[in-house]
Amino acid sequence: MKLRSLSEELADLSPEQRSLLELRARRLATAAAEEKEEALVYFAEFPVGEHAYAVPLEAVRAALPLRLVTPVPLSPPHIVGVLRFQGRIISAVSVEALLGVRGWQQDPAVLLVVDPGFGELTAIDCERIPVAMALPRSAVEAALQGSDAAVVEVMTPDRRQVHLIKLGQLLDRRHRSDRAD
Amino acid sequence: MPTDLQDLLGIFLEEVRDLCRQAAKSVLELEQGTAGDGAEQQVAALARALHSIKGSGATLGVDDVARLAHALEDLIAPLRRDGERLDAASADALLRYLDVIMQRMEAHAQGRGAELTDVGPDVDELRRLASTDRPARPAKDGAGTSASAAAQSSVAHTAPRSAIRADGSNEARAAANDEDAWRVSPQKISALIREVERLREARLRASEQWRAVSSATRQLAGARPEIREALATVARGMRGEADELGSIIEGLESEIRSICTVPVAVILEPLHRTVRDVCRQSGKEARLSIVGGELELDRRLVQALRGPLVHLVRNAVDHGLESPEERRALGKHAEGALVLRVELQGNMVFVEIADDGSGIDLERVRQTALAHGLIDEAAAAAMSDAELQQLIFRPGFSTRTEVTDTSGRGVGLDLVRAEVQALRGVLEVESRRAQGTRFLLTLPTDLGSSFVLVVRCGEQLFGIPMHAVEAVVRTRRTSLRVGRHEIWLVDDDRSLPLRDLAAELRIRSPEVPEEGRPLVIVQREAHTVALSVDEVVGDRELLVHPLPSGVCPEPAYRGAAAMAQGELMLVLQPQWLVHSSNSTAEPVGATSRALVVDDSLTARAMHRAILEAGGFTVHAVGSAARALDQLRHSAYAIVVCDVSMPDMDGLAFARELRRRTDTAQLPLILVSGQDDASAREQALSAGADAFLGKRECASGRLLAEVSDVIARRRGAA
Repeated sequence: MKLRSLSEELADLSPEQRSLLELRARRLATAAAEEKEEALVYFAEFPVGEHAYAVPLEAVRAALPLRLVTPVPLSPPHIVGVLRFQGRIISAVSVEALLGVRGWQQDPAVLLVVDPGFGELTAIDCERIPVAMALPRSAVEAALQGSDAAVVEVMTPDRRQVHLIKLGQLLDRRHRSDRAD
Repeated sequence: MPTDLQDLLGIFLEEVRDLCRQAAKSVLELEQGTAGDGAEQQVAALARALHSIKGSGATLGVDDVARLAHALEDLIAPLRRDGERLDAASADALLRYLDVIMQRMEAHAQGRGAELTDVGPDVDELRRLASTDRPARPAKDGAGTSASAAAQSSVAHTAPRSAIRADGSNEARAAANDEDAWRVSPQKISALIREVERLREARLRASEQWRAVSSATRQLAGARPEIREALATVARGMRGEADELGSIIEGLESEIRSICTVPVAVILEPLHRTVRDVCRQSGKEARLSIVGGELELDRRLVQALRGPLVHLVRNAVDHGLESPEERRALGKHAEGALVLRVELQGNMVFVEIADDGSGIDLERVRQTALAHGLIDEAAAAAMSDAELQQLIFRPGFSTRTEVTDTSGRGVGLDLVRAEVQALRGVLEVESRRAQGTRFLLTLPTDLGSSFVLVVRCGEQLFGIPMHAVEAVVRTRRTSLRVGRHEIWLVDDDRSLPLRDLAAELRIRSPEVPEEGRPLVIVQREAHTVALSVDEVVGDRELLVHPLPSGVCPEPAYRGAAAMAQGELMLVLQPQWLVHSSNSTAEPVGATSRALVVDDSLTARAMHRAILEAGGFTVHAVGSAARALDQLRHSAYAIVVCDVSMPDMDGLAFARELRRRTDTAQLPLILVSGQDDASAREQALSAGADAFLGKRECASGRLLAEVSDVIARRRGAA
């Protein structure tokens, strides 16, 4: 079989075929460009009851078992207690107690040490060790901009609903007010 | 630049810093005329300082610094020669150019000398000032600051550290080459301090083990004498090791302290200048008194405190104090009083800045926060005075309507608090309208420890600083006077209010202590109370660290200390102990008390959140045994108990409750992670009034179940 050059092949195409090929080429080029621009943001996801929550992975410093936590009498109900972490004392906070208890499957026994961004590390409780997951940046930004709440909902690519926690906003309540929420 | 010359400049920088500090102090005293009969000595001291700077600067080739120092010497020549008073313009120039000398010296020490501008114009300006006829009049013109005599006596003077002489000798080089002088990085010192803290924990563990062995030995009453003697020998050996560890730790800390500490006066003394400058800018008058400047603290802490203290002092003058006219109209002295007090207790440093000004205008704070969008109307209306005071720490908050050199940009107290938090400290504020404002910084140091009396209340250990413990006694019922609202301990011709520490901490309801129960007599600020506790464990030497902000709105805790196994023990605040007096009484409007029993801290937090939102006062315990003990002494409207617990589970607990006559009718809800029909059947059979899976424990559902159960029990009664 004689090999023909691309230009020879294209010359044999009908106008309709050429038009169709050009349309497909443009579509492929656009899809590739969109794929390149779709950045991902990484989160640590964990369940609380029936719901999935997530915090930015860059804010996570450690995952610890819930042990050696000292309860603090007279503290607000969302304060589980205090513990030592890398030589400093940090507070352990119940996410459910802060957001409103909606039931849980197993008693949270993991503490996730996070940096909420106001100079103090805090530990938040989870039912199990979080898993890393990625979300499209566009979806995350749309969710964050669409609400002033401390927790916003976003749909994952596999159609699951995840609650993104704005750590600074959620945990800063204790700086805004000395009363329990 | 050769390394040795760079090293010399670094040493000279410290020397210049000290000399400038001394010179500034002399300038302030001479300007205000507070030097009195010592004016001549102050002038001589000022002249010596400038001469030292000039000579050493010339020796090390920092000619710009030497020329400035020389020009300043010319400026003060009439003071020495003719005994003239220092006028305000000269004082301004001296202070300003001392700052310039410091800035230039820092640049040279950092190797940036080539970037500096020509010093010629500054020298010319000083020469012009020196040649101007100055009126021989007192410097104070109605606006300024003065240092009190008390501050003079309490501030330690820091001696120059190096051997640099004004006669241009080479002693500076000799000092740099002295092999006894080492440079150690702060990181290495921090690492050393951390190792000392580990040693301290090891000592604590050794002490606990010695106590455990001693206790076991005592219990072996029936064992053979040689076995008991062998164990006793081991115990004695362990105690000896623990004591030697303690001795080593003390020695190490002492040596580290000598390396690391400086008198806190090095940062407090310049604050007189700060007050002066702000007063001149604002037209106010203020007198700064310093108490505790002679204390020696970790130099890292001292250096880090410099910025926050400057800001707080400036804030006190600018925002706190009224103008002289306003103060006279209010019947106050025209000159405002600022007091800066530093105190060291164990390893905790307390720094207080207080003014006698107008206090925080809470209504203005509320309106400003609303105007800046920091809070909404609903939140503004609901805020308590304490919460409103906290708004001054919010970023962007300022009650100033225009920006001045001192304030108005809203970048201030939030940064101060952040800086204090970065030091693991806490910044609090108290204010009374028309009387003044007080900022209190509480900071831990890595050096030193606190003696603490360890007591047990319920399941938990707490520490009481030993300096506040007057005595530990045993309850004698004949010494108690039980009134309607208070219990009094009559002891040695005095009557002391007696409080149940566990009740003050809202761990359980107040109880009248039984015969023999330990009482800790706590004394602070002329107040004394007797505290009933469950057990006195003993005294420990511990390193206390402040709690993170927001953990507890009550000022009940000084901090927490790490115990032998790494767990934390809360250390109570003596001021709170003597003043608590029903301040933590069960909230007004609380309908009833609920007891939560769950071995999981997080589950207890969630149950507590639900029940408190429903108006209950909640006590929480971690075991069924503890709950049964608590139920003997306190009445509850409802008990919510987990099924899965070690030792005694919820089912056994329910059966025990129903067996006892005093709790047979007590409303009980069992909760479990396993919520199938079988679990429900077991719970109800054991005597529970209701059963909920934890999945179902949403706020509304649990509270509805609680109401239903209580109503059913009441109906059946």
